[in-house]
Amino acid sequence: MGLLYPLGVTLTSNLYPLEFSDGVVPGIVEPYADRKTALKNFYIDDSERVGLLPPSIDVLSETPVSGRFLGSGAANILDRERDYEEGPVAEQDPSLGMDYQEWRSYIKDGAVWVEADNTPPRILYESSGELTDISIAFNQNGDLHYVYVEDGVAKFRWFDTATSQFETMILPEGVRTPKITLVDKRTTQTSNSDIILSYIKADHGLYYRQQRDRFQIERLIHPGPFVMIRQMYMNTGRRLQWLLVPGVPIT
Amino acid sequence: MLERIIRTYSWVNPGGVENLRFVVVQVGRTIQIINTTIEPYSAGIIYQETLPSSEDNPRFSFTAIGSDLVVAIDEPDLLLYSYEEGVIKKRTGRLKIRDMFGVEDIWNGQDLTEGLGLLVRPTSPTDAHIYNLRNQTWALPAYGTTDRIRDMVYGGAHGAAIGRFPSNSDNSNYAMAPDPAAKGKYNPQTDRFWVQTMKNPVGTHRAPMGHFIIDALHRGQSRLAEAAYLRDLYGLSYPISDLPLDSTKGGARFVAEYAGRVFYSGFSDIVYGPDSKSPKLSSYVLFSQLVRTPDDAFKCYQDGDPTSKDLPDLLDTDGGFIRLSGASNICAMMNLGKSLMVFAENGVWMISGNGDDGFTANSQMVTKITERGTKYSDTIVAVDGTAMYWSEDGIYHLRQNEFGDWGASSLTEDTIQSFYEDISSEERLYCKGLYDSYDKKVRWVYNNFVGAVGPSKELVFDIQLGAFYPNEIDTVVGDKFPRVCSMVLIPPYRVGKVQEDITYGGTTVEHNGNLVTYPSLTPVSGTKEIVYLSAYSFDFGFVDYGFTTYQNLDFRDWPEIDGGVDAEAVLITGYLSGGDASRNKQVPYINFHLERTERGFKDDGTGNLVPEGESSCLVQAQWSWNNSPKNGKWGEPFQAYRYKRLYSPYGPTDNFDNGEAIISTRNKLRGIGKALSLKITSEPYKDLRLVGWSISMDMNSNV
Repeated sequence: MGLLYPLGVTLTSNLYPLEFSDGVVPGIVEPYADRKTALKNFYIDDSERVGLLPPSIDVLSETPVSGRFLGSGAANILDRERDYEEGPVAEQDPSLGMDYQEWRSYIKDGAVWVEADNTPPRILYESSGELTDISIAFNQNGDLHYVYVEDGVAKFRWFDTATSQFETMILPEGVRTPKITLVDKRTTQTSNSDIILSYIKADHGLYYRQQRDRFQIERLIHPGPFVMIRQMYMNTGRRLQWLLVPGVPIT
Repeated sequence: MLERIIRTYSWVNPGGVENLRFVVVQVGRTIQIINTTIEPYSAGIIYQETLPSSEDNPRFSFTAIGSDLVVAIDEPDLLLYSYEEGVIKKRTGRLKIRDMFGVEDIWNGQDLTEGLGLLVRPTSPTDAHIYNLRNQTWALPAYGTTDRIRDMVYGGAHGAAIGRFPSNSDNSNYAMAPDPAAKGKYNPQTDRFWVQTMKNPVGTHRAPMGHFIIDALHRGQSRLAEAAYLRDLYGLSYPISDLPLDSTKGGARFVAEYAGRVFYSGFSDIVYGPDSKSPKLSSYVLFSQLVRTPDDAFKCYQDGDPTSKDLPDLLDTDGGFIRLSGASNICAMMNLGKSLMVFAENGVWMISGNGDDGFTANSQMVTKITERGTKYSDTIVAVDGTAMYWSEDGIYHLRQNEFGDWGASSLTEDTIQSFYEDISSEERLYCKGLYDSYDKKVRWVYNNFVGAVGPSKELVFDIQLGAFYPNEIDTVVGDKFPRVCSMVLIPPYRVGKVQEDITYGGTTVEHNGNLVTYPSLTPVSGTKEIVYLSAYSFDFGFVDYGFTTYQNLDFRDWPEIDGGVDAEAVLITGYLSGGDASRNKQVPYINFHLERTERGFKDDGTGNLVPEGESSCLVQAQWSWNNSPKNGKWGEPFQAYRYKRLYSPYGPTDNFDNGEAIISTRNKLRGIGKALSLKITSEPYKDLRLVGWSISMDMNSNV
């Protein structure tokens, strides 16, 4: 049993620089340009382009390119209580790159847990309320960031470079399905990469904040309406991709 | 969590547009109308509405009449949707009937509607009696012996002459006649009310009823409104202000098209503010007039006024209602051939025309076919002029015998009775069935509601083989999603995925020497006409669903979700005892014949070529009726799909043609026992096409 059409609506950012073993970046080919009408229409119907080309934010991509989610992003697409992300060999140890291994976070027994193949499960956050969402990412120094929803309130644990300590940001009321990811984990892209925090707000629009702004500036990506973000991760086309459920929640 | 069901209905040729097919999807209280000629289907949502309903999880009922769609939502308002010039237009309507019930009529402690009470002409008016009179030939004023129009009830000559109000058996039509003696003074041809005639007592039969056309459900309010309107119109005496509320809870829950009309049923037995005349509508089936305009769909009454002297006749095209005596909890109706089948919890009734005539208001017959009823309305499936449905004690097949008589026979009694009994009531309640006429299979999906846990299940009945087989479609995330919820018919070709090359500037795009392709959606020939609707999540009160089919060639369910899960195939044979269950047997060799499926090779990424479309067939012997391996009577599974000779491809483009269409292998089957059962399973992500097997069985001579 499988879907006739893609799941949900896909938004993609502009192209992140391609990496080639010989160091030469060829002319960027946008293969959609010549695709057949049926497919073009299909993707235009179900995709939206998003301006998120590092380091410039407001440049729109010319054509949307949907693809499969890369690596750990392909997992847990339907599960809000589980999030996997490629990360370093150990917390605060980026020496072996930011895509050394898969880190797994999940909600269990009223707590947020995190583990990796070389790291036994440990509790990140213990709650006395109801936890409904979890998403994790590492910054370029291997600091573990995470965002979760506790009793309907979204909270973001992040490393503030201004104070050199972790802070907890309470996101506005009505924020749902927050996701974070380090956009480009390749070592060559460290200077370009950003942690992106994205969520749906009470107005059903899709918003994001980024690490380079110390997550202080909120930007609208798409007015929606969307019910929720299913997944936000880099796709095989080297674009940050959102998989979204269109519609309006039923209250 | 609220239960949410996804229900579907195929609306064929909406707006009278040929080859157009819409799918109506109900999720909770919301309906979406999807144009399936637009791809993807999500882009074809042309209408969406959240309907009013007092229930969180109502069951709406749909039927197409002509080019329109009628929807019953268990509310007094019925909905009718039309498709005009690319736009869905909605109108609402209420079921209207002629008041053939009247109201309770007690005067001085005597019931004026029963027995000798019918003869009583009261000396003082009550609202109930005046209403009944108005509804029984006393509605309209008439000329008396002068050219003055007067209310016949009392204010006119009647009261003056006899000093009483008419009884419920008095019929004003008997006293209407022209006055030839009026010639020269008044019009001698005009009917006049001859009050002297009314002095003659009449029999204990009730005068004809049904002047008022009232709301079939909110009868009390409607009676007051109609009576007030009549009074204002003709300046009649005796305002009516106090009648029983007489209101049936909710509305019609089921609709069906039959004989060019819309039939309504599934009414509640609960009546607010009833009197002794209030109908219990749960056993009623209302039918509309022959539908020529959309408004006709709600007119469940005869056009002619039955209280009229001149036009009381019932026409073939009229509407009305039928009472199915004894039917309780009607749960569905289905147009089957020349009949309308009405399914109730305690049996199935057939409504049809009388004799060879089709159904009309003047020609109707009701027959109870079987006492095997159902309360699982969505399990009822029309199958080539017959019907199959799930009942409490089995799956029944409703069909005509060789003499043309209808009857129901159990399909499960001698086959899968214990399997069927293990299906819970909740699973049956939400189960949805559909018949694929191209595949000749009836499919029922169950465990299909959004709050269910464990795999979605499907029971398939193969019409050609007369065999059942079960499918389980596993979930990926936890034990809830994705979940197959419903099915819908699409045209007998289907949309499939094919890989197409990407070109740029007229040149095909390659990467590392490989063609870059993309999945293209295109109509492909197929033998299935069923598409499934599957729920992917239920968050924030919103059910996210998609259209799904059996299409994956890697034998993965839900490949788009976390890589999917293996769609394992399992076959366990019955017990082979060779006709003698008392002696031990051995099977030295068993031959398996399997269709060869490899169609080429692909690079596994390391330079090695691996076959494409691989098959595998694991076989296990289970001896002596053992249902677990604890007793050592289960053998080790072995691979029955083996190539006898190695095949060496010359490259990735090799098409793996070794000349064999069937892979036949000879296998040792270890073990001994009085009976043998074989368990045949597929391997993850591999094909398995079993053609057959042959066994040579040795039997011991000693018992």
